[in-house]
Amino acid sequence: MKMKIVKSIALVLVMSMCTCLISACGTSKKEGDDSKVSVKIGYWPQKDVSPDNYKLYEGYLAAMNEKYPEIEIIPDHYEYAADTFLPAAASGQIPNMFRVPFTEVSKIVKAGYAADISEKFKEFGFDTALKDSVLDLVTVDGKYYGVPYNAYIVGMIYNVKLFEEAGLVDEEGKPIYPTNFEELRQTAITIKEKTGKAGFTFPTNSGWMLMSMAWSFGVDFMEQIDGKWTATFDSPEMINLMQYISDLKWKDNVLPENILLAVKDVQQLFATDQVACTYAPTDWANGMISAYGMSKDNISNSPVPAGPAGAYTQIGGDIWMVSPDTTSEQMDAIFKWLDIRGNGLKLDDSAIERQKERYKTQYEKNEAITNMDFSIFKEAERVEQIKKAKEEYLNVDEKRWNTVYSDNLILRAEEPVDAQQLYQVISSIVQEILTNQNADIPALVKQANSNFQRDFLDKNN
Amino acid sequence: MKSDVSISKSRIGIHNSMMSDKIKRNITGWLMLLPGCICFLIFVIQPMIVGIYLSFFETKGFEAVRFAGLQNYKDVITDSLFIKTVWNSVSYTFWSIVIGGFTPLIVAMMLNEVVRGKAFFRFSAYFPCIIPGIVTAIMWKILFQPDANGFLNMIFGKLGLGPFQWLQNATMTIPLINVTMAWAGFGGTALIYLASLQSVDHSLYEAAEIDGASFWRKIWHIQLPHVSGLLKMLLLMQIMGVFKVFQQPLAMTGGGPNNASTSIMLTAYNYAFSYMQVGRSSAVGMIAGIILCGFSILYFRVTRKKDSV
Amino acid sequence: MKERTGIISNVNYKKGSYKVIYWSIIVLLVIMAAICILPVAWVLISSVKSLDEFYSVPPTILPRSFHFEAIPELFSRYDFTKLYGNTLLYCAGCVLFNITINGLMGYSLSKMKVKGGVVVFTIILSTYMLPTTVCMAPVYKNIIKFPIFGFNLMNSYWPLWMMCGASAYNVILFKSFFDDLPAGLLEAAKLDGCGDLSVFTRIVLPLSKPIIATVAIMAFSGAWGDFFWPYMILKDNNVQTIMVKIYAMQQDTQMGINTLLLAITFSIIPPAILFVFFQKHIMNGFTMSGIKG
Repeated sequence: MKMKIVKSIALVLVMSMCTCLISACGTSKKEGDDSKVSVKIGYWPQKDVSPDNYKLYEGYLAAMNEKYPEIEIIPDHYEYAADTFLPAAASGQIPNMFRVPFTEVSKIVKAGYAADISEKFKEFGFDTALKDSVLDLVTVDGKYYGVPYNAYIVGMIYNVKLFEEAGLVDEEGKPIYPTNFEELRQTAITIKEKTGKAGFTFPTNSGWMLMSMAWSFGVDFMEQIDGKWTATFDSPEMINLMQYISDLKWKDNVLPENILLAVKDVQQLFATDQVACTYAPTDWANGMISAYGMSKDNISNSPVPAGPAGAYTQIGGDIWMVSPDTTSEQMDAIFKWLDIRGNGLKLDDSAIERQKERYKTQYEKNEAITNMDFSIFKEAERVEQIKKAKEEYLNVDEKRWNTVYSDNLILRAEEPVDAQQLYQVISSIVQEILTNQNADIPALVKQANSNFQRDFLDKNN
Repeated sequence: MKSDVSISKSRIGIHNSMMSDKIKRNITGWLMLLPGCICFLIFVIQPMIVGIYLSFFETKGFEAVRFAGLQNYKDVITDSLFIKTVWNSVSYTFWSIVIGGFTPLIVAMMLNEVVRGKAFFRFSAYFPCIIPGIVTAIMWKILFQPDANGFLNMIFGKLGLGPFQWLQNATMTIPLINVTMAWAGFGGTALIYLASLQSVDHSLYEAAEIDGASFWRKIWHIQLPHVSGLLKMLLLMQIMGVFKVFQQPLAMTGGGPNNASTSIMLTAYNYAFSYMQVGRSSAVGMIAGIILCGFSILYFRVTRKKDSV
Repeated sequence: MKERTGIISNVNYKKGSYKVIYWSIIVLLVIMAAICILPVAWVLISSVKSLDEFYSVPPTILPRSFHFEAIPELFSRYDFTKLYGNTLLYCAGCVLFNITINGLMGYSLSKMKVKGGVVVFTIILSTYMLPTTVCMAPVYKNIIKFPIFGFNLMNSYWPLWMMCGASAYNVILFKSFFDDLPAGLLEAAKLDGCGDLSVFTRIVLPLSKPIIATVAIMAFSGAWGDFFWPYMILKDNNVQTIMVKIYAMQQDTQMGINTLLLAITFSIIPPAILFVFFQKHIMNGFTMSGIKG
């Protein structure tokens, strides 16, 4: 009898598991019928989380179904996250089209989880219509692997309230911008003296925000000699930069106390008037307005300050990529979908209408709409179309909102190889310098340079 | 209630009954093991074998591309940070034993004595365990804010101390992360010890009292021997668990400042998920596993020696 | 009759030295309770602060501004009833799997002395040593395509529950608990004519109440706070648990820390209430089932 009961307990367990497995299997749906080309589109907004965006997407979907009834769009809420991408991709859970930040492109391509889209990319005219610096974002080994959704360059943003408090405004009420690094330092010192708040900061956990600064100081990170990559940042320029950062902390004390800062932390400090200025890609402003309720009139911006080597800025953006198992019909459908969305080169009237709809939503949310965005297109007509669509929604005070683009600005894309690893190496040095007053900067830089060479350049390339 | 075993015992000779008893016992035992074995096989063992396999291959994503022999191992060991991260993991383990190793047992012993308010104290000891891991990390990060508006700096400020740099102080990072881990986990472990302590035969205390044993002698001679088996087991599991730590540093410091809190498993995590180099990640994992095996063999040796003394 | 819960009995307590020990214990426990509860309380209370106040210097211990309107905002954005329901279902399954599957394994390994048991235990122990990150992706692959049968278990609680059934920690815990049960007790029962089963139900189960209660509590709170695998598997809004949502919120750069803390507050309240209510029963289980000589 005891056997029976124990046996039956075990049996029931096994059986119940099996039935549930089967039922789980039964519920999985078949996708679409055979006559249609169906594509899964990622980054689809969730209705309960962002209702405005969801409505926009419904509009895209309606237009798509009307124009291309033979294509079936399957919404997918997949959002890129660095920590889960690999297992998700390895098990085929990535939708046909997915959106990633530019820093991830080469890594995903190297891992083999993105399709080469060069053919369609050229067919739809992106290769000639986009700016060269933007093309760099999606090019790996001469092939195109993504369509830029937007692009931003790194500029400076200023907290108007703190600048006013510190008296750093001109007669018109316009913040007085630092144009070089010595001015930046003086500005930060004034802010700290007058308001007690931090004068300047940057994210210390994500090294890529530091690249603009480093290039402006004249740092060369690597060069290729006879096909072999060599790390070259053990240089006086790099030591100068690190000394400058160290002085901001230990001599002038103008940085926030907290130095382990991710992008989100910097944004929150800035939005809550705890820090007066920071390096920021152009898309930050609206993020802070919608997330932290910052007023758009409390934000002002300018190009990055110039260093000894000039004013360098890094270009970045969000990229649509295509999963490697996508067929050529699906690829075609994806590019048509991009056109409908208004990401394409050609904008027909209905696409312009939908763009206007988007600006209207932003306007109602009191986000900043300016005509000074960095456009990814070099084709004048396309740029004009968007300018016109925006016209009636422009809502920023022109004396505070500047274009972060200036003629003497030099745009640069990521370092060619091992950029992610380089960011970590740089973050480490910066963290050491900011936590250790007596850090031996030349030794640290030398060490980092040789480690980067040994650990990454030698092994990965 | 008489079961068939005892009936059969009376019918058949004693030798035969023992044989069939053994077989039946084996069948029952294996039936009890079966569901667990299935779970382990599918979700732990098979995936682990695949992972080990991958450590010997050059990988593209999760696919093995080319047999690489020991190249992955060579690459990760020669990394300039490798020794540091191994050392950090050892340091995590050391501090976790210092900070969190015996605290649960002491708390359990104290709880065991309380007459009134026991429910409250038990609840409060267990309370941090209810707090989900992400929440704990977010919360302690806020508490450890290094500027004047951090909670702890505020409290210590009132006492005229600080402000402290907390996690930003490279020498404090690992002990402090251990403090949060101990905070989050000691209650659960304490309850396990408490369950064990409550099964101590009370007549033992009484007998000891007749012999005139003091409070401390009763702990030493009655309670400690009673929980020693459990203590050894839990300490071993703690050592193995903490050596593999990576989520806490990932959430609290990202491994900083300047890799002061990067553990060996955080390195493995970074290889796989920041750089997508699964082969190397698996190799690091394997090395960590080998070190752990060494640890536990050493541990068993040491504890066994003590037993025989 | 002498009343005692541990070392100190009523008789002992009358002595001065024991009184000092007893009250120092109480003081230490009060400090412990404060350390355990106050930080959480402070963070939770802070969740109604505005973002500005959150970062203000000097900081406020009790909030100055109360933004209770954030609560209905949060609830209109996320369906908490459904989140709670899903999470409860998920947790219940986890508790069940943890206790039955790991408990049976532990018992079998400890007392049944089956052939090959040592091998099984060694394997389980060694899985505890090897780091799990090595096998994350292969696990994921098994979930998408279940071995042999080929089911897709995405958006199902089953793979998560089965992972609970493969908890080396709990197997080891159960085993060492059963190991500590005096073998003589079981042998004596057998000599009295009890079969394996009645030994199990009459003697082992009642004695195991403490360990079952402990594992159940830990499994519940573990499952409630678990986010990684649920986050990977439960992609459909209809099955998501509360921690999956919170993890997603935390990743979201577009969300202020105060909103996040508010969501966190609501994620902690239910288990806290549950424990306040159930603790008498659960914890009493410990005392009542202690082996008395």
